[in-house]
Amino acid sequence: MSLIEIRGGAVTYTRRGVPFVAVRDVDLAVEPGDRVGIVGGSGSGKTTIARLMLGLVRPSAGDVLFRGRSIVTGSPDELRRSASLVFQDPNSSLDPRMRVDRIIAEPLRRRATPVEIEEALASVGLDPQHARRFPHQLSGGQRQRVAIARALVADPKLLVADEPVSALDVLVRGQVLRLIRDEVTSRNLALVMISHDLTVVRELCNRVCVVHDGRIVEAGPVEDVFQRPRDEYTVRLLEATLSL
Amino acid sequence: MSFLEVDDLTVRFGDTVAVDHVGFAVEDTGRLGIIGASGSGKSVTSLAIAGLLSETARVTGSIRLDGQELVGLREREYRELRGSKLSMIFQEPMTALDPTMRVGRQIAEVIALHERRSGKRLTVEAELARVGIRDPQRVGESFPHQLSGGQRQRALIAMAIINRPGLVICDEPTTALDVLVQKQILGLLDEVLTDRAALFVSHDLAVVREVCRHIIVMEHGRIVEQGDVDDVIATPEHEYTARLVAAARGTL
Repeated sequence: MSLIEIRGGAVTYTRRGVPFVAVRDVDLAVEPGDRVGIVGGSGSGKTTIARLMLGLVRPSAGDVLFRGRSIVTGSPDELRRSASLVFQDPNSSLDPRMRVDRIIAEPLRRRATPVEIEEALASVGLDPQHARRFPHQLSGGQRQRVAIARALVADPKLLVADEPVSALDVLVRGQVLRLIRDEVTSRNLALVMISHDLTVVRELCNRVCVVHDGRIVEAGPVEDVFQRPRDEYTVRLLEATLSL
Repeated sequence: MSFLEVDDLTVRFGDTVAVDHVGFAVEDTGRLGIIGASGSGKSVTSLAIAGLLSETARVTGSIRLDGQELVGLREREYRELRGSKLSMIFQEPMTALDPTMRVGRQIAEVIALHERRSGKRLTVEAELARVGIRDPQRVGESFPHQLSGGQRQRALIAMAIINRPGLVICDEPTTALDVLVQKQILGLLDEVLTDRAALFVSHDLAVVREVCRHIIVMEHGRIVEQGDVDDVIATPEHEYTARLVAAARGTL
């Protein structure tokens, strides 16, 4: 049974009173331990697919199943306990009024022990002394490490990362990506990585879905899609990706 | 004499030295890439040249643009210069454009300045069309938030070149864009920067290589390496450059 599955999913938003279909006909299953990249340009619908998967937006058509049970007609509570999210910009995703230890303990819904905080910080390569700091006292890379520690503290089965390194410095990017890769591997987590950067997806994922104009236009094992793209849009994305 | 000559440039904020005795030159049709990670001093260098640093910055050394010394220039004189001899294209067009003003009006203001100087008539639509905007009338009537990131950056490029400046400083001009739009904007920049001097600031070597042949690499406010972009990428001499190259190759 898949960990999470979208069947014929569609999401319609209203823009200035006019219905606007953000994604349609989305079929996507994520197995336990799977590492799926969702790639596409700005406005392609890739973030909407992630929101759909996490029950953060209601489908206008289709269904979303967590371990075989609909989270649309049933409760999304079990999914919410088993999935966590890392956003692009840790500046806006971390509460500026909270110290790091409280931020990390948020998903536990209880006060964390000092040992738990120390372990959570150590798992993302931060010293215990960071526990009493506020987000503004940390660098961008440290803030994203805190966001990752928070995402992992409640022992999720699925980690969804939405452009987790786009806002980071070029040298810090590699460190944070290595951290995500190592944590996902050692905890055997399923990973959904949303990115416009194909290099990032190639490094971290085993499967990739290419999203264009609200549809998945191509999906398959990463190396197949990168080496033998079948869709014209995938070809354009690959051609536009600059590398050394 | 080069069009832009930077000599022994140092920028301090209190006790912090952000740019440390930096020197380079750019010919009148030359392009120079400035590469570095966050805090390397690359953006402070470009802001110093554009005269856009905060009042707390202490700038020493020399910046000569077309023979004119810029260090110590008054803000009024700088404003005159920014409208004519040099312009800047920033990373985030959403913050560089006025969110409360229609794009066409913002462009018209720059055009008015140009017409006062040159006496030549220009139209908003023609200037927007020149930077590859397909429906210039609609874009001109839009507010910045109603446009895509690529359209906003094109509008900003249009404004930057209306006065035909001799030097255009581009600071991470494609960092906020997705790969497809980035490619289009780099193509456009390559075109509009022809026949003028350009500084291209970025943390991304692959991006800089698209538009520049010559680069300098900055770390802790200093130039640690410089040369032909392909040579630097192939055989980086400095350990820091090697790390930047590895990061750009994306190898974890």
